Amino acid sequence: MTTLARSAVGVELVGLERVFGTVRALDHFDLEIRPGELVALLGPSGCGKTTALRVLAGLEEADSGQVIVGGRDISHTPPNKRNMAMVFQSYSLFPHLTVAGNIDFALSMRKVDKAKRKAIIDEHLELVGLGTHHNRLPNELSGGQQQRVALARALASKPDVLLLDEPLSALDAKVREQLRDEIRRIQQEFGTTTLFVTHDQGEALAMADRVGVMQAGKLEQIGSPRDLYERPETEFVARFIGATNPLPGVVSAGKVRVFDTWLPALPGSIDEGRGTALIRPERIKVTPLAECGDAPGRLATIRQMSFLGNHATVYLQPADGTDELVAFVAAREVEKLTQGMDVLVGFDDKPVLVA
Amino acid sequence: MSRAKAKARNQRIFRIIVLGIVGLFLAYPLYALFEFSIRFPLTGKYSWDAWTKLFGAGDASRLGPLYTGIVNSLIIAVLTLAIMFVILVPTMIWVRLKLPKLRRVVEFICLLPLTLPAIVLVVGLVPVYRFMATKVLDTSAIWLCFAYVVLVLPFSYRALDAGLGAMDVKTLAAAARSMGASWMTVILRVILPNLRGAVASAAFISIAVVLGEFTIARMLARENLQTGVMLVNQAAPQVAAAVSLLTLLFGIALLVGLSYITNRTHQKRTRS
Repeated sequence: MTTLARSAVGVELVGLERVFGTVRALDHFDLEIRPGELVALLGPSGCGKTTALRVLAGLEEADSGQVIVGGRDISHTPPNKRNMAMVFQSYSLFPHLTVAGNIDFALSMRKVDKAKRKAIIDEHLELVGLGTHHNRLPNELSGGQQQRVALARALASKPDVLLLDEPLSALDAKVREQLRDEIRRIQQEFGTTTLFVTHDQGEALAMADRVGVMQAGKLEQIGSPRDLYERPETEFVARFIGATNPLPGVVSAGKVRVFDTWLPALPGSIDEGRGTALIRPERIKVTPLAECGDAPGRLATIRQMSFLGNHATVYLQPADGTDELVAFVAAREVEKLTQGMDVLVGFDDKPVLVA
Repeated sequence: MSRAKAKARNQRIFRIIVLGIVGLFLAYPLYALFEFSIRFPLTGKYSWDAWTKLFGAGDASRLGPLYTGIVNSLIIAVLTLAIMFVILVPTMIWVRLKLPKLRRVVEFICLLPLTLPAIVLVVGLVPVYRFMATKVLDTSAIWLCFAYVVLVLPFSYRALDAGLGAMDVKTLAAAARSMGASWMTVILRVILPNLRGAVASAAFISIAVVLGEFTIARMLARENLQTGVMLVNQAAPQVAAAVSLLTLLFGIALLVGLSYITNRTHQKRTRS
């Protein structure tokens, strides 16, 4: 019989406040995680994302606010009574115990029957692809293997909530990508409610059901990766997630005029008047002058092009001397473009945020 | 022969030469001590008299203080280690985990005895021991352990601090806590096993300090190994030399033995 099946619980962080000296790490912070969901908290260093995770784990106590897990207020419950498990950025395996010993420790803390432990250890090590590494010591494993064991150890104790504190940050790019997909697969297989903290937006967008973007202790916006990317609600989110071109625009009646083109304005944009339209590089259309006809747009010169396989990054200098633009052009369109070419810059008709 | 092999061979030879010089430097005084114990200084004649007196039954009364001193020193060493570890290990772990701002204060307190000569310490300890001997405990030499805990603090602190610095105490503790471990479990099952080397080092150096301590015991009129050697030295200098040599060899054997035992225990535990 498998030991992997488990039931999921929801998490609510309500009005959390945490101040360190003069720094407000959490400022009326609210977050809801649905049962079985993987939510990533994303933000720059010092925005409070790790503090939020540590408060949920019980490793840090909030000055005020509530931590509710499975409908139960556990704000003042010590971490060892919360039935959570955490994987850390720095390798947190106990150096004096073998791989199996590390998992056994977690099981013994949850008072799992000794007779059942071996099967659970075997099953979880198989799950992370380390079925033959039972007797290795942590210092005999690579960084990626250590994090796999840490994940197996965390999951073996059947936590209500799995907490991942930048678990991939210390790994090299290739291993990071591989483990990222593995964590997501395992999390979905187990259905464990998971909070994942990272400063790497690629990781957050690739792994999470929903991503929360934090700034100065507050949640700026939470939504699906696609929502955050395509429909940012604040200037900070628009600039933090992906790349943007800040272009001057004039807003009127829910639309913004940029480079003589009218585009719908996203909710959260300024109501009227002059502002800055934040436009993604892939939303910029670059057309050679010879092909543009009488399409609206602005004249520019291609200053530089970098080919990146499936697309190219094109740096454009507008003829009117305004700031340089960056456009992502699909590979099949790139052939028509050359460095130094005069082109017409336009946009697709999707809504944009105007700040 | 390749350049790499020649380089490795040269490095090996260099290591052997350095080890040889250091070994000679350390072993020669032991040899001198041994020769003094078997060669009568005035006549230059060799004899095993000092050694037979030491182990024979005939001179028990003269060697009595020595035997008492050895027993006392061993008991004191055990008590000193126990008190030192009970006080220092949890304090240092807690300061690392919860009170990092106090680290400098604790370090200052622990290193303070280094700056005080033993004779100055005795001036402060005399009234304390007088009070202890009459009101609380008795005049037994084993209570020297309290003074010796102060003496070994700097060395033990340094060894334990290095051990704690070599591991990520906060992350290991947080990981264990999130798995359901109590603070006691964190200290006993997570941190202490990884502090094994540092604890052994602290124990070794503390034992060496206790076995070699003379000033405080002498000034407080208590009998330990060194005061015993001194008394024997007055009556039979060659026997005292033999005892000193044995003490040094005993200390070395004790340290090597402890090191061996702790290594074996660690290997067994981690592999089981």
